Amino acid sequence: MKRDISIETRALRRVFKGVPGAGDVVALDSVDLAIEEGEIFGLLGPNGAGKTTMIKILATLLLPTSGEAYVKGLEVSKNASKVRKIINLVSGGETPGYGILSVKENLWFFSQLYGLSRQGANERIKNLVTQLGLDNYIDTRMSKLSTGYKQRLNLARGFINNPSVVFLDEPTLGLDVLSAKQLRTMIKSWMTDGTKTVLLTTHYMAEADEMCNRVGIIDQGRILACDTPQKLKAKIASRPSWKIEVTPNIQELDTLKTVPGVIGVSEVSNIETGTSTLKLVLEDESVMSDLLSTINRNGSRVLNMGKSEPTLEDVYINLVGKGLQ
Amino acid sequence: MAVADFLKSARESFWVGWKVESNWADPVLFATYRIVQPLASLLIVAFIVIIGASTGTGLQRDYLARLIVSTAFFVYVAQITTNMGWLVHTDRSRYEVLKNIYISPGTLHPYIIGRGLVSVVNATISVIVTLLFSIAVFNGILNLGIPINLLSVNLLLLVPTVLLGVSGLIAVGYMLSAINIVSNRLEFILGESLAGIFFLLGGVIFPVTALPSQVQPLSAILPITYFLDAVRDSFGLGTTGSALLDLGYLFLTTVGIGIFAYAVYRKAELRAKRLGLFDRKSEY
Repeated sequence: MKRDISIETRALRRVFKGVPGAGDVVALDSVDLAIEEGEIFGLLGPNGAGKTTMIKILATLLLPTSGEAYVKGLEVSKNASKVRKIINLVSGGETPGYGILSVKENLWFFSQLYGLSRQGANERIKNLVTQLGLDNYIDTRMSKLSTGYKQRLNLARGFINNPSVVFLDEPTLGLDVLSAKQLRTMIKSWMTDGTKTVLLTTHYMAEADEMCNRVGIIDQGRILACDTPQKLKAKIASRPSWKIEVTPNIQELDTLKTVPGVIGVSEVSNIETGTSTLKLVLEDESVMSDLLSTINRNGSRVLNMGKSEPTLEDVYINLVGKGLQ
Repeated sequence: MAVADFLKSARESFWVGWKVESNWADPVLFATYRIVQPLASLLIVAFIVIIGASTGTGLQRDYLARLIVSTAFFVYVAQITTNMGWLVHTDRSRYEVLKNIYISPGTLHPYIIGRGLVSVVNATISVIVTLLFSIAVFNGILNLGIPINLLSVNLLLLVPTVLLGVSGLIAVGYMLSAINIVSNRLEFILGESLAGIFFLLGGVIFPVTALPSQVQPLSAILPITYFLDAVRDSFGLGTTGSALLDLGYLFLTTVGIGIFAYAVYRKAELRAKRLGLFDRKSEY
């Protein structure tokens, strides 16, 4: 069944004035995007790719340089006040409210900004604190909460008006594994009625893979690919992905990229063990011998290697030529 | 946004502001800022006049009475402009919720006004304490016979005067907040500088007619000038001749400053949306 479009951008472009001598910065470059009602859409990309700029425009915080952006059919620049009634925004790693106020008081304040009735607000607050595991902290001052619980409060604030469309900008940033899992569960349960829409930006590929119906990969202001995680991974299934652990750490990662047939490479270093885990996307298996020679010439030794199932990270490496980390 | 929703948002913003600004956790600090500070300012000015009078000219009791009333009510100007001048900065540096408030249906309007009303309440306490204390000191302890009688104040004039006066001042604070959204570190000087200019031009210490003729037109367009004139009228200390005329001018200038402040806000909002300043943070 064809669903209504909840979020749409048409040739959306945003240019920021750069520092003198450095030129302008194109944060978004003619982005066309259509997100359906009921979708959790993930926007993946490195810092500065344009993810937050996109969200700021859609959340009525920023004007585009050109192009159009729609939320539920409303052009956001022209209908900001109508859009604000149906959206909310959660940015990871930010202060969720007033330190002097308790969890309940903070949520109450924001509920009133959205015009909730006394009973409606109390019920909503009760539900949210239960869903996000904040029950035992409801009367605790925000300043006394740990980082993880502050982020839970931030999320509760973002859902206080039961928005039709919610923008989650790195919502699990700095969260422990349990809190991040709880958040994902809460979002999924909130989505069950099929009328809500989430635009999620994240660095965490596994999170996007688990949560998102579709994913857009963005780099330097352009959407490079947009599809379901399964289809994106299937597109690179013919290209082998390898995971190679080497020691000592690779010093010159760029030399690996110059090996013919290497499409992209990312590296995660472990300072404690002095090892690097490389993720490589290759044209085909024949590249391996040249690659291993290059690793040896760099003074590193292979500890482990193996072929891996394609992941969203491999898709990203395939498209951008490097990893997110 | 419906009026009821606007009022609800403003009421809750007032409550948040009261919690944040009044800082009940430290009542000594609260008393220092809200009562002792304006009281000290008044006593300094009053004693300069009294000591000056003792050098030969004789004490002008009517002038001293006007000075005490003007200085006491100027607390509204000082506290509202200074506190509202800091509002955006404190939000950016401590709470970081300005953008979340901005994307709510009422945006920043009810929030700024609600927070401004906290300053009105705080200032009202300061004004009452300052007046009572002044009468106790000058008429009680020093027995100077200053012609201020709180029981004969024309409340039918004073109440609308204060309501209009604080409305104009909140409009000024609203404008300062708007400027601070787009400016960089002006919050350090904006509110207090403006309060200083109003102190000079508003006829607090000396009549506006004593100012150089070049700056008198500036006084004539400030609601503060008519606010203080009308306040003095309600205490029976007027010098302008017509209390209703002062009230009329206060109404007109308040409406004028309100329109001007809204225009400044809209311009600042547009600029902030163009430059992406609503989620700016301050760290000092």
